[in-house]
Amino acid sequence: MNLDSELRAALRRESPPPGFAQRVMDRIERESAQPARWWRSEWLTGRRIAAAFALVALLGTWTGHEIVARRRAEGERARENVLIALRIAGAKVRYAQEEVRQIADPTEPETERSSTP
Amino acid sequence: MTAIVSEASDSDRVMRRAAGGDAEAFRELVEEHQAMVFSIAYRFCGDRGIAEELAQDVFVQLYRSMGDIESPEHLMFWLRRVTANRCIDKARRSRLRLVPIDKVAEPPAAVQPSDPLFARALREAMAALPEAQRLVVTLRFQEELEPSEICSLLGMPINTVKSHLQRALGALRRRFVPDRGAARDAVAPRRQS
Amino acid sequence: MRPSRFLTIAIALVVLLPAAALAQSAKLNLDFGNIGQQAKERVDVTLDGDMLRLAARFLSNDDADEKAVRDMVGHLDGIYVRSYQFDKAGMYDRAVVDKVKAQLGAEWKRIVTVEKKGDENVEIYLAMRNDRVAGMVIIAAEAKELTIVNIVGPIDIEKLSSIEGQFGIPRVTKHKAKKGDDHE
Repeated sequence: MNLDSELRAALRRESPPPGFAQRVMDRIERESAQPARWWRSEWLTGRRIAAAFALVALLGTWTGHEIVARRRAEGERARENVLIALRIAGAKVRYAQEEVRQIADPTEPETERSSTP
Repeated sequence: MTAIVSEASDSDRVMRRAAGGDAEAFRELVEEHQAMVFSIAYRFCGDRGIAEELAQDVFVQLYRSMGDIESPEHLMFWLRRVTANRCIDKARRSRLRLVPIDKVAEPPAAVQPSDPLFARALREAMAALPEAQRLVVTLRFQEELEPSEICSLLGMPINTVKSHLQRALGALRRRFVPDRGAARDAVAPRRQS
Repeated sequence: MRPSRFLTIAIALVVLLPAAALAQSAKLNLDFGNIGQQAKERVDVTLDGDMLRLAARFLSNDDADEKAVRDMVGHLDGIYVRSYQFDKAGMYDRAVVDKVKAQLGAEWKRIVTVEKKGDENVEIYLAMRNDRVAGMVIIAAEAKELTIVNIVGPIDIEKLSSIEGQFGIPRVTKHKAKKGDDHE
């Protein structure tokens, strides 16, 4: 028996139950109904542009607008950095947890030495 | 060659339309990749209902992250990785743990390799492997990924991936090969002829 | 200054100064000179309390995953990450790890050590004050990769370990298409 080819045959991709894509689209529609409609509506897009102009007018000067834009870019960058930093930290912690768990669970592959002092 | 280029650019075009908020294009992406995502989830959790819910979560997350996707290849990588991560998360949260491999019912004696029943017995035995091994075997044999690709996908050291594979295959072999000795002898000549 | 106002300020100083000192004590010096110049890939994240609060404002409140991160970073005073990947083994000075460990005073407790030959070694330390976590350091060293993470503030390890799964947005660096991937 060639286990590799048997596994390939046994693990062929299977289709999800019929109507899966529609259910995904329904869920997306449901979960993001407001932003989606808001985005698609030309009327509201027009209002958004008007609101943006009003905001600029309120801010008064181009300098003010620049400050806001720079702050937003900084915020987005900080957000990205937080996600990257926590993803790296999370991966390392999870790796350590996994190794410790493998010691506790003999069915998992063994590490050469892992400890929790 | 032309056809391949055309397919690639079609996928790229659909992806760009989906990223721009075109719901029909996004539905096309879902239909194109649903079997891959669903099957990884199904092999991992062994329940079609849970697998569908998990696959739906992946596509909803994809919808929100379409702006980050850079190419059709990146999309494949993204889908596999997020599906794998969600499977691991799901198992961690619900402590989804199937029966140990030695508790899985023996396949009927008459069943031989390449029989549909054998494939089923193999899938059942695989479902009883530890979570990490199950995921690695699924990515290796269902998705036909190399260990180095699995390592990059799961963020695991390559040695850990190889060790998971060896242990999983060892467990499956121990389960099927000795008991199938007679069947293997019977099947091998027939296959060669 | 009226006596009552003076008293209020004095009490505030007594309460806030130890917290500030504690936050400072959990922050390490992660300046490793030019180690990054030889690295193939590097991640250098420096976020102090102000930047974390700014980042928190840009994390979505509607998305459950981002909300969890927002709740977590809202209480932190800093996140610092130095991660380097090298082409070959031995391209960084192991003394860097010792330099980090030398900064860990009595309040730091090592909670996990994972050592594997030829594989990734991970050590996790927590700074404890009054039975509460005040900071964390992760040192992950392998032949071709070095990662140091310093989180300042009350970090929840369980929540942290679930982050990667939730935000599994992959890096773009390593991926390639497989035959027949795109068509079922």
